[in-house]
Amino acid sequence: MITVWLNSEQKQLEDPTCLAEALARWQPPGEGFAIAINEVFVPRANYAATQLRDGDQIELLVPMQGG
Amino acid sequence: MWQLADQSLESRLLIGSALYPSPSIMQDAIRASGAGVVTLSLRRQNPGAGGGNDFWALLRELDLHLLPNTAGCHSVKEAITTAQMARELFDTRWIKLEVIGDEYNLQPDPFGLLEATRELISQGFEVLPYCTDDLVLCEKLVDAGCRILMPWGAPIGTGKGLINPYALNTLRQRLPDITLIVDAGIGAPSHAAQALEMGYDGVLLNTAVAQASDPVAMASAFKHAVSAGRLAYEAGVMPARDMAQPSTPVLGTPFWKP
Repeated sequence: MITVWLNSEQKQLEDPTCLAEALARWQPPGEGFAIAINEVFVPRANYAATQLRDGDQIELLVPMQGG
Repeated sequence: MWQLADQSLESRLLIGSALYPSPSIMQDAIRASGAGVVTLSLRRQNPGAGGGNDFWALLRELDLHLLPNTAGCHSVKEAITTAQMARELFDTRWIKLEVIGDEYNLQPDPFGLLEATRELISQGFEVLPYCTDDLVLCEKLVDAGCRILMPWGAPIGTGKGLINPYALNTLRQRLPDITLIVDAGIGAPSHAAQALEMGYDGVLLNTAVAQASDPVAMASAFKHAVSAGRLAYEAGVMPARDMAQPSTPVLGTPFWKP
């Protein structure tokens, strides 16, 4: 098992798990989000090829009001 | 019509999508403003904050050009990553680049801003930097490849208007070919008109409309103020004089005695 943080919330995952598999489990809303891991942007096309590692900080951001 | 980067726009008003009393008032106010560009951001999903898919759907109904921001970023790395996420999520290469240097007045960090600008332009972004009115900083942003600059009128959300007209005028005079937009600090329609009268290409505001007692009416007021300001600039505002000069003809003054 590995421990990752999704928006600062602790999550347990089997090792290995790719980002696409983790997202399928967490079910973020629709396609209206973008991802960074450890402050590095991960393009949607790379989700399946991105292997998650113990301690990864995953940032999942959605559209929000802004000025 | 005027040109903002690669887009032709009618209105010279750019408007924010935050702080409205309700989503429907946001929609109505943005429509009433006549703005062709709306700003938005990215945040973690928070059911209490009102963003996410519902907000996104409402905004898409307006069918405007999107200008995502990097609000809240305090480092170059944060700003660059946020811009990359925004480009994918909103399918636009435009980014309102904010790198905040001071938490008290949300003043942009000029050094971080310039560094992030250079990197994002190298990655193909159209960078619209939220900057101070410092001439040297603005010249360096232009040297870095910016076609558009967005100096502050006053700190974000203060509503103080154009607190340094001299500096803003200097930018307009020294950077005649750059699109200049006053971003932040606008509190009243007269502030927006003042910016347009000075020859600024547009204004970007949010709080002044969203926090008005009647945001929809205020949006309309800003729409008219921006049009009036631009028309006045094109018509040629008379130069100020120190001495009075009568407007009524002196010739034929009644009761005149030689």
